Amino acid sequence: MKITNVHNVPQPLVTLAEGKHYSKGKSDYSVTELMSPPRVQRLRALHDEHIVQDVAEMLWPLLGSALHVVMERGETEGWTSEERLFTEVDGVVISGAIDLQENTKEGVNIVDYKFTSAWAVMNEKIDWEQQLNVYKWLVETVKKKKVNSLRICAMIRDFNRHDIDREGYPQAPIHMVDIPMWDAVKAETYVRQRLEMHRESKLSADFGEPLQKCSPEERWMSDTIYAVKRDGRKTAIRVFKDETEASVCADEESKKGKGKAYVEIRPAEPKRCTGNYCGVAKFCDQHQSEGETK
Amino acid sequence: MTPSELLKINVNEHTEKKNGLTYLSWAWAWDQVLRADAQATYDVKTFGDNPYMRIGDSAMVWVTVTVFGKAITVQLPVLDYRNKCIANPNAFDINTSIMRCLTKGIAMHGLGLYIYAGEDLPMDAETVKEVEPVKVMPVDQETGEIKGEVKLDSGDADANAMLFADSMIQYSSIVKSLKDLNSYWKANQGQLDKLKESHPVLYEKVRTTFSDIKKQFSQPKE
Repeated sequence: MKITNVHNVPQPLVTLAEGKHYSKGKSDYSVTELMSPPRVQRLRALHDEHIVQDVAEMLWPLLGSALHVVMERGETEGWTSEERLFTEVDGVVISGAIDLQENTKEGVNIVDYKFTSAWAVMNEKIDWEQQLNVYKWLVETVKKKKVNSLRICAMIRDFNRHDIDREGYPQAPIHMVDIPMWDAVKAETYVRQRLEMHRESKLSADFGEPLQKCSPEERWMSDTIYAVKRDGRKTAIRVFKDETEASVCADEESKKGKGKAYVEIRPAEPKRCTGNYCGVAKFCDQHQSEGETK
Repeated sequence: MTPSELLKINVNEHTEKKNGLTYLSWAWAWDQVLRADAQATYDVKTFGDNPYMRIGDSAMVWVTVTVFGKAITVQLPVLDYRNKCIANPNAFDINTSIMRCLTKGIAMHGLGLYIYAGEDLPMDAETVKEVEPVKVMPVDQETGEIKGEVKLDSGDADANAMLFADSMIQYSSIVKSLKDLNSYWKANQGQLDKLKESHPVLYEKVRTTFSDIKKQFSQPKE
C-alpha cells in the first residue's frame, strides 16, 4: 500500500502510517488476517502496489498504533504487554499479538484495547468475541496456561456524557466489556475453518479463478429500512424494518388528514464496501458489479 | 567422513528391487550416517497428533535429516508397491513411508543419491574428489531448466527449489481427483509462495502443470 501525504502532516505520522514498526513475525497469518474476509486479503495482496491511502484519513488506525507504542511504557509487574504468540496448524504458522495479559495464580486474564464507538460497545460485536477467543486458544496452546477471562478495554471516541442515562450506554469514556469464552474445541474449529477459507481463496487467486464472495456479514450489510413519509415533510414519520408494519402505519397516517403518507424503501447497503473500509472496493468485482461505488 | 565422501559409497549391496523400483535399507543407511556424523538426527514432522499430512484421502509424510549440522527436509507421499497413493493409509503404511522418507532424506545428504538419479553406481572416487562439498545446481531463470550437470548438493537453494518443484509436478501426475489436486496445492502454499519469490520461472512451471491437470479434471468425461 502506498501512503500519500496530501495535507502535508508531519513526517513521523507518515512513518507510523507506513507501519514499518509492525511485523507479524515469521507467521503465515496473523489472527486479524485470519479473521478478515478472504476476498479482501487476496485483493489486498493482488493490488498492494495500487492501493493508495492518505495519511490524513488514517486518524483512528494511527491512534491505535500510537496506543500500542505508549503501552510499552506502562510496564507493570504481573502484566505482560504486546506479546506475540506463534503456533502451527497443518503446517501453517499463525500468530497473534495480545495487548495485555494479567498473570495471576488462577490463570491469565486477557485484555485487548479498542478505539471504538459507543454504539459498538452497546451492541454485540462478534468479531471481538472471535478475536479474543483465538488469543485464548493461543495462550492455552502455546503457553499451556489457563485463561480466566477475556475483556475489551474500549476507548470510546464519541463518548457523550449527556447520553449516560440511555440504557446500555457506557458510563465513562474508557469502558470494560466482558467477552464470552469458548472452549478450545470451538476455538480451534473456528481457526481451522478460517484457515481453510483463506487457503481456498488463495488457491483461486493462484489460478486466476473467481474469488469466493464476501458474505453479507463480512460486508456489514445494513437492514432494508421502510420509512413512512408524508408529502411536504422532509423527515420520516417513523421507520420500520418490516414492510407490512410500515404500510399499516402509512395507512393510519393518511387517515389523519394531514396529507397522504407513503412508504419509502431504503435498500440494504454493504457499508464496508460502499465506504471502502476494506480498502479494495475499486478492485472488487463483487462490489463493482453491484454499482455501489460512492 | 565428509558430505562428499557419502556420495561415493556404493550402496548396491544394501538395496532391494520391487516392481522395478530400488529400495535402500533404511537401517543400513542410518548406520552409515551415524558413522559419518555421530551427532546426526532425524525428525518426523507431525500435524496435530499425526505424523502425516492428509491430502484428500491420501497422505504425505515429512522428515528432516540433520547431518554435519545441515538440516534437509524431504517429503514423500504414502505409496503402495505400484508407486500409487494409498487411500486412507493405515499405521503400517505410514510407518513404511516414514522410513522410506528417512532414506530419501539421507540420500539428499549424499548417501545413495545416485539411485534417485537413476544411475547404477556412485561417482568414482576420482570424480568425487573434484566435487567440492558445496556445489550449485544452477537454474536458468528464463527457462526453468537446470544449466549443465546436476551437482549433488541438496543444501543449495536452487537444488532445494528444484526438488520441491519436481515433487509437486510428480505428485500432480498421480492424483485422482480435482479435490486431491487442490488439497495438495493448498497444503504447500507456504513453500509455493517462497518458490514464486525465489524462482518465478520454476513456480510458473509448477503452476502451469497444475492448471493443465485442473482443466483435465474439470472437463466432462466422454
